[in-house]
Amino acid sequence: MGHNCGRHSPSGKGKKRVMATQQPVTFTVIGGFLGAGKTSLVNRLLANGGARRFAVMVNDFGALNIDESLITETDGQVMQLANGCICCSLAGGLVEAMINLMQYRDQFDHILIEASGVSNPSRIMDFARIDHELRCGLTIVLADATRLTDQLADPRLHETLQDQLASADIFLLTKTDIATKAQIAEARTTLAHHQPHVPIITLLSDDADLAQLLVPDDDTDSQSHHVHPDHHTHDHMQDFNSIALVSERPVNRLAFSRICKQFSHLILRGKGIIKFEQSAMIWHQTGRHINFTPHPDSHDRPDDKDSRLIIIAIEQLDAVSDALHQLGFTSYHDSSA
Amino acid sequence: MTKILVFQAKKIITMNASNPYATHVAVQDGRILGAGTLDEMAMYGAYDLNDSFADKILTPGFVEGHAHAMEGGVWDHPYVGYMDRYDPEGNRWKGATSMADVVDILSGIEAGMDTPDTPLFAWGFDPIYFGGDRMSVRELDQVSTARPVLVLHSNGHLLNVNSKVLEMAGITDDTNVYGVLKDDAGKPTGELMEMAAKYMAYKATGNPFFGKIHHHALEQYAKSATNVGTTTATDLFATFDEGSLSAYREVTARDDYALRLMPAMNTLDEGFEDGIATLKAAQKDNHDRLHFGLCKVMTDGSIQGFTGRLKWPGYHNGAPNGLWNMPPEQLAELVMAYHKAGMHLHIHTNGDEASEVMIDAIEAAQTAHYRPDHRHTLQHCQMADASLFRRMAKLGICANLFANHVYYWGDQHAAITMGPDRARRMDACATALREGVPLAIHSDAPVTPLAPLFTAWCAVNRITASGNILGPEERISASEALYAITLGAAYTLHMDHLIGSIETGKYADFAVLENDPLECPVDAIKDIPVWGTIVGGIAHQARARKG
Repeated sequence: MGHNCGRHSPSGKGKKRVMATQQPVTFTVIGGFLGAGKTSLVNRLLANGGARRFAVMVNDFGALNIDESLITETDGQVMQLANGCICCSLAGGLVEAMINLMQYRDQFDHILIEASGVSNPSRIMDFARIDHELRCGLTIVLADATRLTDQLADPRLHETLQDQLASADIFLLTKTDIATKAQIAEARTTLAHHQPHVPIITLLSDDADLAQLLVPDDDTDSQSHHVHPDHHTHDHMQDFNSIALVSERPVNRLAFSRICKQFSHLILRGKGIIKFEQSAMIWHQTGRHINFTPHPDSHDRPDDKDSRLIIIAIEQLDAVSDALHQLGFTSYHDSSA
Repeated sequence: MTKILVFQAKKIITMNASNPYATHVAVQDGRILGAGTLDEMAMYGAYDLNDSFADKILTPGFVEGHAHAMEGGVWDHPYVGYMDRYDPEGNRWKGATSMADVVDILSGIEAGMDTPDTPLFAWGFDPIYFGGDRMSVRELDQVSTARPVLVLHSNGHLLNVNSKVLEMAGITDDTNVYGVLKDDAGKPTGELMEMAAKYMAYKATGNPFFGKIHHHALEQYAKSATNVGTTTATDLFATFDEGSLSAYREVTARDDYALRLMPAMNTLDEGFEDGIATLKAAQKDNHDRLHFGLCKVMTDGSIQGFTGRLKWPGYHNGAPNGLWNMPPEQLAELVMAYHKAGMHLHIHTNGDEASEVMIDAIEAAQTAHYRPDHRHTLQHCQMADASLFRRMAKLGICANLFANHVYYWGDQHAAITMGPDRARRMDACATALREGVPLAIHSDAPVTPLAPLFTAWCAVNRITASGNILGPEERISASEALYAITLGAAYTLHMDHLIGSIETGKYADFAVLENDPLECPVDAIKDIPVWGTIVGGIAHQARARKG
């Protein structure tokens, strides 16, 4: 099951209500069962979000680390904070809350939704699939390494959890600091068994790049973005490797898309400018979240025909690398060693 | 002390077991001094006699333990349900028994609207009675193609819109999103389900049912109540934002407000501690006509929407099991926190699995923090079997059963959702009483009409819309049903010391009826005309029924 956003073209029909100057808001859904650490993740993203202007929607305000002195304005439903972020109450339900929130649309670039422990994150991500003022970010599904197997065995939860696992672009395995090795291994096996195409990462406590991985900022400034190999960013992350590839020949789009899907469980972060036979596209991928947007400069710089991409991946990258070499890519700077 | 007022009636049914019938009731300062003969009432002192009800029957004012104040507000918008309904002003809205009826009703209203862009919202649409027919833009475009037209289904899950709404929402052939239904040619039919599709429609048109409760809705809610003899009603899913709280306070502060209102706070709006604090703060403003204290918990969905959580073997037609509003584990934590804090829970459970999970949760809470008289109530509790009722009785859990369901959807439950056997025990009033569970019955207005005598008729007769008797063994007697809509409901609200019977010291709240519900044929209980109510000793006449 593909997890493309389902939108045909950002300049397609139905766009007229969106002002040309406004970039769509990136919409990220954090799902997963009760106790998997969703609120903690929201708190970490808020704390390490850099310049990102977040609007967060959570079930329980009280669980957020919000210093009351930072609250600059509130209308009961929407709370504005001194750091530029906005918190929105889910009272009255997600539909009403989202309509309220979107009235403040010029005040944030990212929406983070903490899904309730029983909701299907796919049905929430549908908001971004249908509303052209939003764009699909990641559907991140958290799983508690100590409890996943038991939770899946509970007949009262089984279907709910299945839906959650099926909706994930990426899995975040949590509580690995208190889980036994056997539990972690079992949880990984379970996740891989249910959704073999979804990458599994663990949360590292000192991972400052979490926000960049889960809520990539370059989605919002892709027009000015220049792809270049940058293997320092992720040096401290365990078990991750990166490759940088270039291709001087036009790339076959179908074949490239097939590789994106085939290796989605390995691709933690892929980005690049891909010169397809028909057009140049900016490519972003995190796990099953695959996104192509037209490259704005493709007509301005006819001399620059090269495709370039980098991939940060879990485990070894040989298989992905081989497949891309067969498509005509060559190594730009191999950093997988 | 004001002067004593004595009401004379043909018969007063008191629901007070030690003094069950009377002809006169003495009232002072809005409360009942006593009931008996005129000679007995004269013993309280000088009095004025009101004999205008001398040919009528008085019962305790009816208590609606599960309805919504939105019942007052929905009538600002056209009703297109299948069955006839009366609005708070007494106007009859004829049922829409075909798609063409819906179009006719809406076209008539559309023609009378003077502003061209104002969205037309209709509610109550229930195509479950139309076989397989589904509404589409084809029908609603006959109403208007220039004005947004939206039709909300009675099940709350579906929404039909016209092509104008689709255009405003940017929903086209290219929209491939779950919940946007399409025809064989790939065109959106205008039927929208799930959150995202409805979000897009409401984002474009607004939704008059969003946001805080309005004064007007509360005013109309009291009128609806008066029309059917109800003197105390819940608003059983309330958001306690400041706007709504002010509306409750301001409207009920008026001396002529003809209803005692009991809003139940939605516990899912806030974390446990904050919610408990919010409720305790609100309770400081309680007065005779406003009683904060109830807490609402949503667990599963609905049976006819296939979202109720069922035990084995699940839905009769093989539909997958329903949806939780919150993980069972978290629901249990919520029950524990609110129970420990001394709160009074009203818990929505439709399917038997949901009921079981909540009974487990209350058992755990009672085990950890014993409270002798908590009166937590399972609301709807439609599919509980005898074993669950036995546990409820042991644990002191009350049941407020959705008796109206038997009439409105009983046929569908027997054929589609529950099958012939389990449908017989839906809303099993007789089993609840037999097993010793305190019982109330309700309408869930505006889902079904606010009308306690109709609700009592459902519990007594169990006749479905098609005329079948569904589970005759679960029928209860007229007096048991009358108890359930008065003292029984009052008990579940922890208000039985103040309302529910005509008894010294209680509020002088009466339903004024033209016939005796205990003497009339049981199939005529729903047809008893209601003159109106007396609330705190003040008479309020029902609006005349028109149309």
